Amino acid sequence: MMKNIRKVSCVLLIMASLFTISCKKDFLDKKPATNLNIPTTLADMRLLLDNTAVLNRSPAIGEESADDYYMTFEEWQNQYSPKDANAYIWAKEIWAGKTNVVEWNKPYGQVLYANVVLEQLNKIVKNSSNEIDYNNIKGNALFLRAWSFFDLVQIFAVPYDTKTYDTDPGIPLRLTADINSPTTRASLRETYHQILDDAIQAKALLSLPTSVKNGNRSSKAAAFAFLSRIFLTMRDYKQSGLYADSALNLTSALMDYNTLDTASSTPFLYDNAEVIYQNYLVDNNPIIYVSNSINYSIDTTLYKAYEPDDLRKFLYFQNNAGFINKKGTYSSNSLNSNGLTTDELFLTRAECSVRNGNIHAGLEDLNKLLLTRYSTGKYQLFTTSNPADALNKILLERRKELVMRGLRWNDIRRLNKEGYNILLKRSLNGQVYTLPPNDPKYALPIPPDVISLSGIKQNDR
Amino acid sequence: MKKITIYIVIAALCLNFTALAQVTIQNLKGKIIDENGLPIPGLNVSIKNTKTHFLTDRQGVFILSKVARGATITITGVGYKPAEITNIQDGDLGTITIQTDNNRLNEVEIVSTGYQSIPKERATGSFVQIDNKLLNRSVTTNILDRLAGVTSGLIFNKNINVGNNSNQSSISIRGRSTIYANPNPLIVVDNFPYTGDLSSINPNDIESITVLKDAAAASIWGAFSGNGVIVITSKKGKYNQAPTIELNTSITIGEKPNLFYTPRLSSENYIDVEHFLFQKGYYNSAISRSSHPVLSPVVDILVNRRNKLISSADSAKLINQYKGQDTRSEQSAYLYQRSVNQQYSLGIRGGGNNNLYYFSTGFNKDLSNLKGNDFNRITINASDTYTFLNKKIQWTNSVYFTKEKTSNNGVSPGNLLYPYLKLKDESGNNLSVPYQYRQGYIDTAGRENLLDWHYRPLDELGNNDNTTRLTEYRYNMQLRYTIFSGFDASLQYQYDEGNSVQSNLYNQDSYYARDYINQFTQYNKPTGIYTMPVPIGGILDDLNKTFSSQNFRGQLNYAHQWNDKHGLSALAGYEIRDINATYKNSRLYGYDDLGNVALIDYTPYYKYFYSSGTGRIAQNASQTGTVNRFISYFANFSYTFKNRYILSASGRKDESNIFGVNTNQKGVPLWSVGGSWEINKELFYHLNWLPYVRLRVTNGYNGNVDNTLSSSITAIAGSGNAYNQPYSTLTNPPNPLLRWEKVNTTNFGLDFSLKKVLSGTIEYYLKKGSDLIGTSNVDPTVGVSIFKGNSANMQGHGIDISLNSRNIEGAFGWNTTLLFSYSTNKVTKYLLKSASVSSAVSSGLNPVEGNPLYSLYSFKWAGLDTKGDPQVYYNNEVSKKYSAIYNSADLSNLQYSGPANPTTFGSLRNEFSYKGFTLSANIIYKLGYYFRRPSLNSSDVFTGQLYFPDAEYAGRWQKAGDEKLTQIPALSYPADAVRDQIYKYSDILVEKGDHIRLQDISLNYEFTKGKFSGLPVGSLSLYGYISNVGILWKANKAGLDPDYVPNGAMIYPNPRTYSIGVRAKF
Repeated sequence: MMKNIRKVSCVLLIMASLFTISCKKDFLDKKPATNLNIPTTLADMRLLLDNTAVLNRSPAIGEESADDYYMTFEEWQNQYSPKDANAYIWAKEIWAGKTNVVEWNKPYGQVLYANVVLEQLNKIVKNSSNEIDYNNIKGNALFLRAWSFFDLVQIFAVPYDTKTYDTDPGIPLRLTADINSPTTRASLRETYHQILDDAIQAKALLSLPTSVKNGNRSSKAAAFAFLSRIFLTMRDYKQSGLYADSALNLTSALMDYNTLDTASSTPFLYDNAEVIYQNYLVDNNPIIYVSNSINYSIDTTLYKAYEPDDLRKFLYFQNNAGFINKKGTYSSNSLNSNGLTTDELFLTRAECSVRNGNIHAGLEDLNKLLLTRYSTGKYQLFTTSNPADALNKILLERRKELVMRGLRWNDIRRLNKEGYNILLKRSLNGQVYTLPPNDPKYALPIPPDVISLSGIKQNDR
Repeated sequence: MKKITIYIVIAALCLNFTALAQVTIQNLKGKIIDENGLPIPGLNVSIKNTKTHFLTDRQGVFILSKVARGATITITGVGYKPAEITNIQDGDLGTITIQTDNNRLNEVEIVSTGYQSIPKERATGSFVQIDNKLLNRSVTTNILDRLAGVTSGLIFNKNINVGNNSNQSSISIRGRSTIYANPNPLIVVDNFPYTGDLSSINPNDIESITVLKDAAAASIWGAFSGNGVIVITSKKGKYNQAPTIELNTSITIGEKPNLFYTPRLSSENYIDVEHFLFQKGYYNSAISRSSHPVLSPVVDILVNRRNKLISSADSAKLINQYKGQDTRSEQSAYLYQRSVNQQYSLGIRGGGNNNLYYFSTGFNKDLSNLKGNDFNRITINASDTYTFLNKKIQWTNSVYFTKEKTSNNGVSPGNLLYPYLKLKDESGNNLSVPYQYRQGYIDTAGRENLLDWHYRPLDELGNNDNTTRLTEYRYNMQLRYTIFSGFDASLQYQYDEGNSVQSNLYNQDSYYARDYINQFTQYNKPTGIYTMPVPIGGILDDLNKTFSSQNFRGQLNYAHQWNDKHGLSALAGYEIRDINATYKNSRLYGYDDLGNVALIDYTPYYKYFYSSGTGRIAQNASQTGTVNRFISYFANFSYTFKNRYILSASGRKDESNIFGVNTNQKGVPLWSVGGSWEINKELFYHLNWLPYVRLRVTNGYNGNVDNTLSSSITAIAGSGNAYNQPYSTLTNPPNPLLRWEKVNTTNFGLDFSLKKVLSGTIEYYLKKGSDLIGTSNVDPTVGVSIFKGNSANMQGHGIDISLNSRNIEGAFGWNTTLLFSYSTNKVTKYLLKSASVSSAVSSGLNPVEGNPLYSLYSFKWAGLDTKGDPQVYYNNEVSKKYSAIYNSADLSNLQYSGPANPTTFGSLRNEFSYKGFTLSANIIYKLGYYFRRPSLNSSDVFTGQLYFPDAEYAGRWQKAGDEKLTQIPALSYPADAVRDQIYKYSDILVEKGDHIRLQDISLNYEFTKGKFSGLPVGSLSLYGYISNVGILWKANKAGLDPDYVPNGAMIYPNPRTYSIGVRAKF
């Protein structure tokens, strides 16, 4: 019996030691997939922030609802997704009961990335060796969150108006990655306050731009330019002009359009000298077809506004069987770029200067820009002493220069608040649809699944 | 044997003397083996006229204490002829060989769990054993296919819609107990979970298969056992057996598939539709689009006619020609063939006193029905066992090697877009067919400066070179040390490595390469120069998959019998598994036979030649890998009292690198308990007609895991964004509470046999799945719209009956086996509410609380209106508000049409034998489920999806009043996709799936040495086998085989196959 017990203990010992040898303590800590990463380091955060397909995208439905293009009745009838057809005629219902609305889910998905990065950053100790990286990543995430909120507020809330902004509903402001925290709608005032807060923090944290090759990453110049765009939307022309000025102090290069190839189908590169921050409108919507399809065209009156010596007429557009397609965008491909660029800043600064009473400075910016847009020697400097004429010229050139850059919808909303009375009109098979200035339909309805799952208030339309 | 005979002689001489000399033998020992030298566990050894008895242990050893000298012992056991040894004088009886009783109805079935082998009659759980004879009844290349129609409770799922994310496995055991986690049963080969490709196993190397169905049988596999376990055991040698050579060879010829099975609109009627659409201007946008999309030949003719390029007589003549053509005849003639499968297998096995061996080699060569597709496999298998130290140490080493080559060079019928295409002209030249671009465009595009842009399917047959080569090695080692009788320790180790390389070479002549090069060709207008960024040459895509797994197990086994009352068998151990897989993709451009490769700049965006769009040259390079690691602890015991009461229990805990720390540290082990009672052994039992009755009850938990989830916040790396920076994507939000799914199963079993006529098993089970992985909708504002976690529950129950009847015995024999299974499940908790009825009717996996996981939901049909538009009931009214109906979130507007998978199924197998002939036929049935038949709808017809009965075209609503005669809606232009969906998913198209088919017929003739003394071999069998014989009855009137329901594409029932073969033993 003793012999057996000895034998058994011996065997048990061997088996136990084999277990210990074959199986180290961290055996189960191995991550299940090589490409699966638990974001903990600054490098991991950078990887998340470089997800351009998720992050550097803005909804296109604002541009879809704006007046720079048209489609034929036949195409309108054949729209693959009902929301595109509905948005085109500013119908009361847009989403046709569909859930997973990209216009809502995409920006809030970006907000989750920003919040994950911001929360994980709290667990990293900032020291002298990682400070620049740390600040840049934090600035990047804040910039991103502000950008997404800004995209959302242009679509799902009425235009900014200090008279009503305490009672006008804004958008839900999610500042945490915790999916269990409830969703509530902030007021329009709180919404812009948060956007400015994030963007101003980002401005302080971000470094100077390094290379346009990294145009997907925000920089200090991008934060200035973005703040200028935000303040312009808020009709705060003083701040907007100042930030445009700050941005242009950092980078003010303009391309001479004479050096570009008008025959090329992609005359602009995604990393051209004017790009400060690169961002694109999502595809799979009529806006993408305006770039390459018949039955979609740039608004004829707008097209006619380009003079024969205006190189943009040939660099921006091509005639496709009678339809004016918008070929060149600042993206090297058919995606429409709505990023931040120096040409926008010149136009913004010009507008703000005039509105702030400095016509001379405004026209200087305008002429400086247009000189690079016309065939060499063909541009007549624009001069006037009438502020209204100057403003109208600048706004027309703004529309012409920034066509299909995702800005027209914001501008219409803003200018109608300034009393420009822009009436949007579509004609389809004899039926005319209109969107009167400052109509509640300038705020699109919140997607039905969001309403049912969160209980937040729907927009009145 | 000699020894025993001598004893018997001595006993006869000394009968009186021994009665006087009452001396006791302290310990009487012996070991019982069968004719093959294998030890027989579980035999009952008793001393005549006393109550003392003992069951042999797993080594076949028995020990009886205090036996009177001269006593007689009897040995009995199911499946063996009873034996007696009289006049015991010596304490050691040595090795006793007893004879198998082939005439006994209940042959002893040894079931294997992968941890132990036990006689089925001593197990409390639910096991099904498929023995070698049954495995060899069918002639398939894949081992698992041989379970079809012969395994109680197991069904092969058909019509699996992979593209629809239905998460259905091809095999289900006792229905379904998970939603999103792995749906496949665990496959165990030679005691370890199998991670390789099952196609690499040669069925001729397999001895038997055991299927573990309930908790008591399977819970030893813990978190992997939720879907049942299939245990495959390889052939091994036998002790003290002269070398036996086994040869098996067969050839199987399969008929050409019936391409006309799937109903389809005729060419003539489709041309009619094209005329109609052309008139309506449907094609105008495609005709004028700058990307030159493909047009059908008929539309091309109509365009030419409109542009006055041809006369109306010519166009009519050309079009008439197309009306008479049918692509299916062309496909059948040029793309399909008879399948031919050849199998050769040669094995040798045997053993001496201290060693066993098995060596085999197999070769398979399969030519598929689709020309250009074939499969070759070579398997080599060597297994050796040595015993040392008086058999105290047993050491087994097995090596398995497989090499496979699969060619996938067939031309997919999906590339033939129109129903009237011809593949060859009258003089035998391969014709080009419209594929991606308009024929007129590619005829002239680039004028000589581009590569030929035509697509000729039959040329592609020769150009395709898509080959997958798989090499797999498996080494399995078992070391067993017997510490003392009844107690042993074993170590097992297995290393498995496989490498599969799929090499898809598009040579320079292939359409793919020509098209890709042309797409990127750049034309500089001012200079008139054409440049090709994708260089002329072949394109080679490689996909390299490597997997390896290591398994290590330490286990202690104990078995002991105390006098005649108490028997204990127990095991405990641990197991470590490490499973790795890597996937590598690469692409080479400008590839030629010499291995030359071109350098490519992947960054620029090029304008496509055929459109104004731009794109980059695809780099197609990636590398990913997975690592799954597990540490498991397990234990199992079974206690037998008085040979008739058995109590069993088992438990297992799994830790894994995919669970969170919480689950690994605090997780509760999965466990089971069971009991059985052999009533016929009770003294009060007197039913002579029912000599064997046993009741079994078990309860316990099985588990399941979802490898795609992780407990921490994770991101998946991507290789390069638009700026060529590495990046990563957030996956499911963090879930620290992630744990395995649990399935609780209660099983009631009754085993019985009626004399020699009928025996069987009846089982009833209840299943409750909890903590199942389910999705829930979350407010998209949080950043994700769906969250996956342990949030769902399911329930199910069912019955498995298997009956064996020996109807006639004698020179002419007739046996019948009936399998009957009923299985149903329902989702009892599911947090994600279908946001709209559209997903409930159309998605592949649509969990709805209160209904089976796979269910058909339909709109309630209300007939056609006077315009020929479909109407359904919506909020109790006849309605045409298609969009509102389809997008409604109110599921109460849907009809539950019934389960989508068979709820009742089984088989009836009759076997007739006469002299050396055995004929058997297996009829299988599937009942109690529903499917949707395809029918004409405008969207599909207009986009060229024509798989519905041709007669419906003429039979559709065409004029007012037709609504009284037909239920087929009018073609409406422009097509309203939602209107068509409403009809497609209405209950008028739901059909009963019930059917019965004659699955196969097998005929075997065995030459035995007894009858043919001149036979040069030990035994020789000739066999013939016909599979997929035909459907005998079906409930639906649509003429469809419910196992092959067309769903927008051409399918065909598995063609009938005929096999002949020879099996010989030397």
